[in-house]
Amino acid sequence: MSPLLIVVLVVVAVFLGLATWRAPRLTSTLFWSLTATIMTMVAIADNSPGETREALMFGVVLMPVLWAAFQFWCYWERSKWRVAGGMIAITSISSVAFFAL
Amino acid sequence: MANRERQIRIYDLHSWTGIALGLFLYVVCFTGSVAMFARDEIKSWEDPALRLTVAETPVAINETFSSWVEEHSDGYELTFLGFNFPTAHQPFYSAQLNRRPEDGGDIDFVTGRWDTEAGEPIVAKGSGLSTWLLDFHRDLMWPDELGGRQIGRGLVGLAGVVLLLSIISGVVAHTKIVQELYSLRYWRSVRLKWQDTHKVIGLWTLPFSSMIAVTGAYLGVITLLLPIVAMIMFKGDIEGMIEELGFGQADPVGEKAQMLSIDEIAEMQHPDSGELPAHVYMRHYGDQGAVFEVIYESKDDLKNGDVVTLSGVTGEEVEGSVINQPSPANRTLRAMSPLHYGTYGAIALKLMYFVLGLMLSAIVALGTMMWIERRLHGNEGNKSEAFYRRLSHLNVGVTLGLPAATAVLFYADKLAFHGPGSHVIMSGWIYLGTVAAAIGYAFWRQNDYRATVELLLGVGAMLVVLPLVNTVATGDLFITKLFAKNQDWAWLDLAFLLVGSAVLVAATKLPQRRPDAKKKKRTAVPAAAVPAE
Repeated sequence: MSPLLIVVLVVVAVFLGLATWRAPRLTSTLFWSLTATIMTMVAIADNSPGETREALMFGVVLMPVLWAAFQFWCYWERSKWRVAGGMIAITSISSVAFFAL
Repeated sequence: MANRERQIRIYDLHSWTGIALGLFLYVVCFTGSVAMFARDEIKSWEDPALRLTVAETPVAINETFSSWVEEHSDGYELTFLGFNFPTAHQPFYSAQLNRRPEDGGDIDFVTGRWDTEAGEPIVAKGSGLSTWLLDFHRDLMWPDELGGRQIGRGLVGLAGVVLLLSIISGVVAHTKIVQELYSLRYWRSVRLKWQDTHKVIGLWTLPFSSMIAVTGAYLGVITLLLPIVAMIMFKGDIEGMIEELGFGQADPVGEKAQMLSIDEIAEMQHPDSGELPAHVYMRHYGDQGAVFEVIYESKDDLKNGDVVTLSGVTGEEVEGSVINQPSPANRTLRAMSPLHYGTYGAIALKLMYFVLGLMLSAIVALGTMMWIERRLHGNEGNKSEAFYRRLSHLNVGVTLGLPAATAVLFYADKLAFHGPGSHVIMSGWIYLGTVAAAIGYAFWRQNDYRATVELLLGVGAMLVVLPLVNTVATGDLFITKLFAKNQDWAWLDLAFLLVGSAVLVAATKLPQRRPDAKKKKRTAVPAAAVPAE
């Protein structure tokens, strides 16, 4: 990995960390809900029985609905820290399910 | 207490989503209501050369088509070739080819049209009005310098996600839904009137709005998210991804061959429905490995069409692309576009979509109006009065600027756009310029009630006069062609007259200033401290 890319990634990570610390609900709605949506779809499409293509295509149809649902949950949940934690956890668990299983 | 806090949070989400992206949502909703008619009805209005009737026995066209392809593909590599048979809405033969110079360079496209009586080329007017109205809704005509149409399409898709979020939060924020379905206190205060209208229309049109939001989000967001998902799934292997998703294409054989005649294809009935073909998409035209996808309209079914794949040389049925095979996922995906654009029924369905689309636009506009009203004449908000007034002017300018811009574009089409060259860029300048002028007018007027009435009167007057302009410019009087075959434009003229009259009547009924002008003294308190209604 090039040093420039590492610097960019570090800056993005610091920015996201600060944004999540200052405004967990807003950052979760704008960013973490999207990563959670993408990784959930990837994990489901990869691990579901049947053809990958079929699962992926259904996943794409469901994606906007899931995204809006995650965003809604960010304001439904009482604890703002549980919101950010929940979204990051969904992203992480889905990533593990895809990369490790 | 905890539930009340949650209720306030959800209400805040609903109102802040609306105020932050309400105008953008309005632009997408309003342009969508008009865009449905762009391909057929507006196209017929736009170009008098296309106001034809289909011959009882359409002339053979294969020879003309083959020569046309040969003429336009010499020195180029064809990236797309499609042929359309005449229909009630487009009563002529037409074809389009996309080509890239063999020595590299940008792809351009060429369109050909021929009448069905003699197969003579129709000198059609260059694209402008209908292209702008359709594509501005689909991809905001997003400039190439900023990433191109795909970005624009993704942004429109994001509007669908925002709409979906607004719908969910709106429904959850209002706890007395059944009561609100029938509550329209029209003679009470401005705020109550707007609030009840927003809720009543919103609740009654909920199934339609939800469907439009989901299908619109899918059609737009897929262009941004599918590549990301696929890239992660296939770990950067783009070729593998294309193959797995069924978008792969066989290479040409490299030997020249005589192609299957278009006139033969025209006679091929669909094995199940008995329909005749509507379009043919051709890959590797002129090559031994040519493949033709013959598309049959499926009039009463929720799908884009039935596809039969043929060898372009022998006419024998061959295995089609994975995306055309009848799987549950393909069936679902192919239902999205007809559902969104209302193309699975006749004109009555389109009209219903149009009315519901305008209602959706009205809900969005009313939501923004209420948000501003509560801050200008209520106890919410902590910004200055001047700030909310400016926001209100902007809202009026955009809300009424779009209908005005649409009407002005029709005038420009008849009075300024002539000849076969493209008028799309000029259409864009006129359209966006008119919206900017309407915003400027709202700011200059300083009275949003009066600006609304005056802009509505302008839109109504323009629409009422449009049929006359069409008659003067083309010599066609709509009343004489209403019941003639293939004359969609005549019905559009009638619609202009009726809608324009309705707008004029509505404008005269609206107040020219705020009805209960006795202004309350504003006390600034944080928005979050005000309970949800």
